[in-house]
Amino acid sequence: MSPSTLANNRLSSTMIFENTEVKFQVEKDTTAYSTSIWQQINDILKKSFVSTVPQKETTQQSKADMKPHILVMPGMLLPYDEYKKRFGTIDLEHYRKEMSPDLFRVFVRHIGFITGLQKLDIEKLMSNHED
Amino acid sequence: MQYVNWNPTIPLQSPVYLDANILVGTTINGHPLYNSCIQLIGTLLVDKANILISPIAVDECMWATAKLAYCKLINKPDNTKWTKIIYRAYCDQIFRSYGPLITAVSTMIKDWKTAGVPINLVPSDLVFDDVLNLAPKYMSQYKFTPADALHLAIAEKQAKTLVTADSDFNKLQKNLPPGNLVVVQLPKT
Repeated sequence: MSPSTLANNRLSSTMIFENTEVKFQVEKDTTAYSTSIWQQINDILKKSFVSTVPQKETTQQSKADMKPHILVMPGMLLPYDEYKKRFGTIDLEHYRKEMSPDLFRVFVRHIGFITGLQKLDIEKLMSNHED
Repeated sequence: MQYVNWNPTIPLQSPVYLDANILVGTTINGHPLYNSCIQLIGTLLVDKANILISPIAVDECMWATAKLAYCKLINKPDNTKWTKIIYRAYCDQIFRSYGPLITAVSTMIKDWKTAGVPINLVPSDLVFDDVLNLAPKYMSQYKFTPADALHLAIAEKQAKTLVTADSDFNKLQKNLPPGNLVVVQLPKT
């Protein structure tokens, strides 16, 4: 592909994410599109957003919203407490690097999705299946 | 057959049969085996291992998460009595309040498959008769529940590795059956 064709096929886009301007380029070439966009999203994510929702009200609910949120991946913004429970002891960056974007997305979507009981024992939970 | 305790450095030969407790242990956070389950599943997905899932495992997962939903509903611990009668009595409330828990594992498996993870449903027709012959032998020899005997029989016929967190599989150590299957046990932490 010639440089002029490449330039014609490249679109600059800007999005505002939580008051932060994020710039990225989208290639119209369909074969390069998916890889390119995910690479750019990955690069952005590697900077690990930790954002705080701005305070607008002083109600109990808005105080809860003030707690830090963490963007695990596009479309998955978790309260810090939930993030800590699910991913606090897991090296997500390792899996982000090793997995394809699609696989990473489904991996993080499901791991630790359910909050367990205090002192949950998986064997006990599954023990009386035949009752 | 070999029996080994899991650690992150053990190579897992594909195909890998996953016991229900591994699948459930991956979707529930905050229990002692959680990190091991995630590490193990993460490694299998990165390595593109062929993962084998049986309907028995899915059945056990749904039953366990239904029980967890019930425990949450009545605010009781995980060893709370759980029977079909209780399930039927609380079924509507469970699905109304905790429906996504029941489908957590099956949704995870479907999403893995959509993302390109090589997953096969077992047992296949080719080994069905062998599995049906083996399972009662394992029930008798190791006093396994029918479900555990079927897990082992299916894995022996179709997998190179069976991964489980069920300590009942310890019984295998005393008298390992023949064959090349490696049974990998997630040790309690």
